[in-house]
Amino acid sequence: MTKIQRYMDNIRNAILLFPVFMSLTSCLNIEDYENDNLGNFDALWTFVDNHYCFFEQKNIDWQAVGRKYRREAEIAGNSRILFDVMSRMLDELEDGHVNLSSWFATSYYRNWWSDYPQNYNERVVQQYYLDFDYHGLGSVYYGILQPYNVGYLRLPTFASGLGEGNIDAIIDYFSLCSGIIIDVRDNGGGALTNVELYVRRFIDHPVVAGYMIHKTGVGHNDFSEPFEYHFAPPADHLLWLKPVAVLTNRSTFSAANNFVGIMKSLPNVTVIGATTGGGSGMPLSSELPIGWSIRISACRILDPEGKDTEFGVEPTPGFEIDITPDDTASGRDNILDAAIGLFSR
Amino acid sequence: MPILHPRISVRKFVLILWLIAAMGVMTAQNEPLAQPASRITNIFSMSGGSAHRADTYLTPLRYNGWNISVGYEHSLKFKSRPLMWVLDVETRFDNTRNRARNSTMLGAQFMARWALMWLRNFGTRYELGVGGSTTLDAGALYLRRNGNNPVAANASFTIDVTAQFAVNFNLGRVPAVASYRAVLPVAGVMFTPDYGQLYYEIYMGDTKGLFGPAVWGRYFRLDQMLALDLEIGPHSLRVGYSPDIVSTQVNGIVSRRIDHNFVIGIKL
Repeated sequence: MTKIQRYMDNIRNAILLFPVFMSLTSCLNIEDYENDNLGNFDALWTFVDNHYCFFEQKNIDWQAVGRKYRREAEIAGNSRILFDVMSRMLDELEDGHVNLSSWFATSYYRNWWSDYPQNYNERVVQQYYLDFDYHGLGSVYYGILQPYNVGYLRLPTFASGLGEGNIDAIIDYFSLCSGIIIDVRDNGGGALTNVELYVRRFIDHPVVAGYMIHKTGVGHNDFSEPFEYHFAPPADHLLWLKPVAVLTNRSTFSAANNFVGIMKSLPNVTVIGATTGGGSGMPLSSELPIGWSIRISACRILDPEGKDTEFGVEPTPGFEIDITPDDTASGRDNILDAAIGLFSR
Repeated sequence: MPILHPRISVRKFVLILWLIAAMGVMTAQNEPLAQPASRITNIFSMSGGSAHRADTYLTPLRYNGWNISVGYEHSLKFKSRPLMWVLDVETRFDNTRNRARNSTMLGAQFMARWALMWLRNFGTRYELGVGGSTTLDAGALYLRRNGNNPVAANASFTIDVTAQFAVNFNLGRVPAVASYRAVLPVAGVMFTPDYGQLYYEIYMGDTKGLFGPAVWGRYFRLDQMLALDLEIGPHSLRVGYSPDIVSTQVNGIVSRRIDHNFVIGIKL
């Protein structure tokens, strides 16, 4: 065999080995789930098991939960029954951030707010306190409560924000007021970037906004060290450093819960109303072989004091207030009254 | 503890990689390569074919679909030395769907590679090239249905081994070159977010451990090209087949990109 022939043989062998080499690379493990009842159930259970971040805080034995529902899932006769079984399993997490979405329904755990008084009636505020004299701006509206000379800013959601110029206009409008009331009752949250958008108008120096903790592995206690994050006031925009009251109810949730936790840490802010609904876990999404999507709490956010607010942010001591149906019927909002009284002292 | 621990030695690791790359460039520059080049080749190509994607940061499911790419290759064979360097740039887009066909994942990828190969001829027909290359690769997958984690970004800079084998022959009366090229990264750095780390946390400043070593076991990539260049008139027509694979497993996140592409190009 000549030298050239030996070279050619080696090259040929190398080329022939490349497909084998490629197939070896497929060994990196991605678990495959069958698109049947148990395959979908196992995909859902495993995703929650690997990523959910509040097992310990809620004392949930997820293995036991899986055993409880797996047989039901296996014998489910159709997609709706399977969806119902999976939804009930997810309800065991007692988490408003957990949803299973199919083409016919989205599961949703409601008890985090439905077991509590609502403590808010928008019509009462608009009619009896603002006399329908307020300004709408995007999703928010604002006005001055007369004759108290107190600004009222309603933030119904953090799903959308305002431009910096819009916020300047609101603060400028309130400039002669003795204080601002920010109403985040029934605010179900939205984007954390919008929390920062508003909070930074109430600080004059960088502040600790909280801590983030993410999963580092599939273990229930595999968490990163808390990461401290900060908010800083905006340059060249108006700030509000006079007193602020933040109104809350049980339906103040998720990003709004986060907003309240940060605002409560500021020295000129009083939180009035009821304990918020929590929802301090940032959601993570995934999907099941059947095509349904799943969302769960996966990344913990602590308040500026390092406390978990998954179970809500309590009002400032002495300002825990509920509204009865009789109050609402007579056009009274006790929580708003308390805020007005705070500025009238 | 391994010297390539992702959270401790990354800076040193990157520095070493850059030094290796820089030494390669300096060595190349110190060689008398500035002498008249014998052959410059430019190839503009388009390719398309099947795409297979998986990224457990976004979904545990595999997605399948199609991809298209455009590429440019500039190569230089030196007259005085048996050397060739190749600059390869490619942009790729892909569109894949899940098994239930109710969700679409979009992807975009950019790759730039510079290779230097030593050539050896076997007779007048066969040519073998062996050398190294550096590859910069970056892109993202976008899964529209996800809320807080709709995007999985990727980025890597690697040092590779490169090999090429070419055969000259006549296809009828048309001069032709059949070639096979493979690029196999052996070390580098890559984007390595943590298992459950959301990009909002990165946006807020938690960048610790975001880049780590790209080595076998964590990062595997093999780019291949089987091409046939037909000399038609002053130019050549290239047709080819390119199977590429990129597979990573870092911090419990597994990702995989496999493409099988038909390539057509023009060689100037």
